[in-house]
Amino acid sequence: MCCGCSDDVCYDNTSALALLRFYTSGTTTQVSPVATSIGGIGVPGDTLLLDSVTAGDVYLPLRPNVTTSQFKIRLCRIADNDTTFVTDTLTVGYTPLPYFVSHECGAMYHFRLNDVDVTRHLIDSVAIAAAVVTNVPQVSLRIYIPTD
Amino acid sequence: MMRHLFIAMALAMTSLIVVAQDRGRVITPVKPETNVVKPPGKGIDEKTIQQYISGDTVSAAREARKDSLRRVYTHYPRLTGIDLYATWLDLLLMACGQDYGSVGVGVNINMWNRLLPTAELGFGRARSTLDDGKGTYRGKFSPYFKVGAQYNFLFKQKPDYRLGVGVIMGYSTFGYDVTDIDINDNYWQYHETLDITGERASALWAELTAGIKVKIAGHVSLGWSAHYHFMLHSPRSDRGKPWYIPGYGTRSSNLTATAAVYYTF
Repeated sequence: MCCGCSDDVCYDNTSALALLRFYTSGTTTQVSPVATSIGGIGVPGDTLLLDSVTAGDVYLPLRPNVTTSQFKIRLCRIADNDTTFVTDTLTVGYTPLPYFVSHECGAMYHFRLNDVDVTRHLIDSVAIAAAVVTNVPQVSLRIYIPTD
Repeated sequence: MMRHLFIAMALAMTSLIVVAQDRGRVITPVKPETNVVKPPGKGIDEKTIQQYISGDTVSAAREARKDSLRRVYTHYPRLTGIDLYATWLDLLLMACGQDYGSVGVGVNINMWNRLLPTAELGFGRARSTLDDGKGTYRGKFSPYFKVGAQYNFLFKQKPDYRLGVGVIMGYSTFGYDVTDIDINDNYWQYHETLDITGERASALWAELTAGIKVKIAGHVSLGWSAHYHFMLHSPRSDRGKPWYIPGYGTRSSNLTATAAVYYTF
């Protein structure tokens, strides 16, 4: 009598990550730039999230104890059979929101995106696609790069 | 001469046909007593007797049957009884280790031994370590209210036994905290212990119930019921959804059971 059945498994993501997606400038066409490297600025050990891979979607972890996170994005530019690497800096401003998801999945931070900026060495622009970053996968940031 | 012969032959053939047809026909003899109208029995009311006298025996027989049913099945008054009850199953489960529970007291008004309007007031609380072990959920001691009605299928039986189904509406306003949340970010190598406190929410739900009640001794009865419930207004805030709702149970569960002890006036 003193026992019960319960489904104690968490089927949701247990962290909220900002999903970044690349598009060609001025279009809604998704692209996957080759030899892309992305890492947080100030992360211990300069650990990279991606290291020279072809990336269409990138999940960016935002620092929960501050209101701004910066990432360096190194992209490969191929022009006239000449390959060069260009590094831009992405700055994301946000408000961390403590959020209790469920008994199974626990609690985490959600993030309300306030502003976003990028250096324009190669990247054309960046835009916020979804104002709140939750544990539900959805595109939060759109980065536009030239077609060449 | 030939004319008379033809007439004689025609008469003979006609008589043969009549005989043949008579052999194929079956005639049920009418017994004299079937035409006798039986007199109404003792205890039949005057209206039925008048129907018998007027010759409307079909209506009279129908009325007589209804009258006999009235004599077999007791008709209970509008106010058959009043039950006071208290739920106790969650107390037992909490004693056995369940992290949450609610207890309530209520009243049933037994009308005609068929319809039982119900009202219940109770309180619930919760205290549970989250499944990932990285936090504690505390549902504050908060009230809930339920109103509804049940239909007793055993209305022909004594009120001591009841088998019924019902519809109930429930409402609760409550508070909760989630404390000691362990936030661990492996990439930024950041660790924090977080509290979400002072959260308040309200919930409105509906329940379909089925249950039984059995007399134990004197005025005391025991009852068990199963409840299928679903949210009409889900609690939600900017900082999450509550895990436990007093009177409802855990938000993710649609099915609960209760047990109650009744005192009948």
